[in-house]
Amino acid sequence: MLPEQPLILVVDDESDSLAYLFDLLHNEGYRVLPTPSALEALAQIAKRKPQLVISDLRMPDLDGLELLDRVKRDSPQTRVLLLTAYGTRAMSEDVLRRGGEAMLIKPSTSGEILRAVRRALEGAGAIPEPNGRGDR
Amino acid sequence: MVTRRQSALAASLDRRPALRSILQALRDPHTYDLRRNSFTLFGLIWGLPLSLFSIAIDLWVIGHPLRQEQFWREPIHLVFLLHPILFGIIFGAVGTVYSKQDRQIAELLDEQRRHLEELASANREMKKIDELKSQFMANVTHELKTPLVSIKGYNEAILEGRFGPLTAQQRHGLAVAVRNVGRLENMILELLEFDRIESHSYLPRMTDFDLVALIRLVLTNFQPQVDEKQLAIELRLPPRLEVRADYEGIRRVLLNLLSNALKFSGKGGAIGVEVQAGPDSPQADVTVWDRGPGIPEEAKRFLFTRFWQADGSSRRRHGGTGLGLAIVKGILDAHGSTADLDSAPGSGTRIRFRLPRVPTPASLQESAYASGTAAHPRG
Repeated sequence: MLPEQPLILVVDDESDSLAYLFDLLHNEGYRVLPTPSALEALAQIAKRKPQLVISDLRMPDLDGLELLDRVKRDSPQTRVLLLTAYGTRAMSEDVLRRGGEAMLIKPSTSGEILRAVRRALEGAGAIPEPNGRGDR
Repeated sequence: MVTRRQSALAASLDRRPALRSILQALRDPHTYDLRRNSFTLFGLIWGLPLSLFSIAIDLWVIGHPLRQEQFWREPIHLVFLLHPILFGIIFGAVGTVYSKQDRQIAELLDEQRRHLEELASANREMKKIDELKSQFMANVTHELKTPLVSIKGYNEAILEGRFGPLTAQQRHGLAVAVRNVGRLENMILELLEFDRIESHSYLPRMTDFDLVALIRLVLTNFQPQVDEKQLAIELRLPPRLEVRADYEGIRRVLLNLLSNALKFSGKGGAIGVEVQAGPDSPQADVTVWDRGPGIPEEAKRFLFTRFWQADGSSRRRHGGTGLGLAIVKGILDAHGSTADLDSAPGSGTRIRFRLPRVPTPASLQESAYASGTAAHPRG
């Protein structure tokens, strides 16, 4: 039997953006757990221990950076990738300093997102190549 | 409310205009004006010696002051005696003129002060509105960008064939959609960038990078438009050139300048990019040019101001936010550089700016060699 695919938790309060990320990653063969709010995400992270969390930066209940801090505190082995509609380079440096993998500026191309995901998972010491069609 | 007594008084005043004007004069603060009254008093005192002198002469010549009937026989004595009143009237008139002028000046100053206060409060209001506008821009831009994430993401993923194979027609249709989402995204980014420059929160982050590679990268963004308009791109670039500047900022400058050059070029025209840097020059000269309609003289002054396009019809023909060059100026200003414009109607447009170079090991060696030969000219 093939080893289990890595689990990616995606959190975005914007349901269509969430659906897009889910479809994109699911299509690549990853196991994806979509959550519509940061607090729910924290509960799920504690329970399911995903290898990677992809989070929006601006969310009503909890800021993406705060989520990053909590994830790094509670389950430091989990990698975190942030997505934002507008960010500066200073912000992305802040993300790296807090232990995040990277900050992607939305809208990023699907290729960019998948590349960042693959790099983050490689860093996590995971993991077999996804069995989807792959990125280009 | 008008009482009966007041209306009776008003009626009696109507019948006696002299009394009314006296009452009015008593009410007028001008009557008690110190400056005006001092002139009158001075006139009275000034006239006094003349009348005293005339009485003294009478005493000396005829032994006693003139009697009443003698005054009427020789009226000149009356004139002498009334001199203090005469001078009082003359000086009083002068004082009246002066004090009136004073009052007018005071009124003007008062008005001026009122206007200033009005202006200051209008200015405060404007600043408040400007802050609101910036806040609004930031919010709206974020809101505009959010739906783009799923629109652009899905369209691109489908176009890339991630969700299954496409027919040629589907691929073409999606490619058009993706290109136009890209345009929309670019305009939103422009608004965001402009807002950052306007609110002075844009700070260039200086790094060393290869300017030539950046120019080539930016040019690839425009390939579809270049193909569509069948434009010739003329490049005069060195193989590579390191500059010290804000990578994202200069990318935006090049994007905006090239986008303008393309926008204003007709089918089959030409645009160009030139980078010049002498071996010893600490600066790189970057020029972006087109052979479009050019910019009329009277328009040059406004070219780098926001929302402005050469004429109203131009906005309809060429589209765009009208912020492109204002952003270019903002970014270059923050670098301590400027955009130099060289354009005339009918002969195209050249925009040039300078960026500081990074001293390369090669140029360091060159200068070391140059100083070496200078030290030993015959060696």
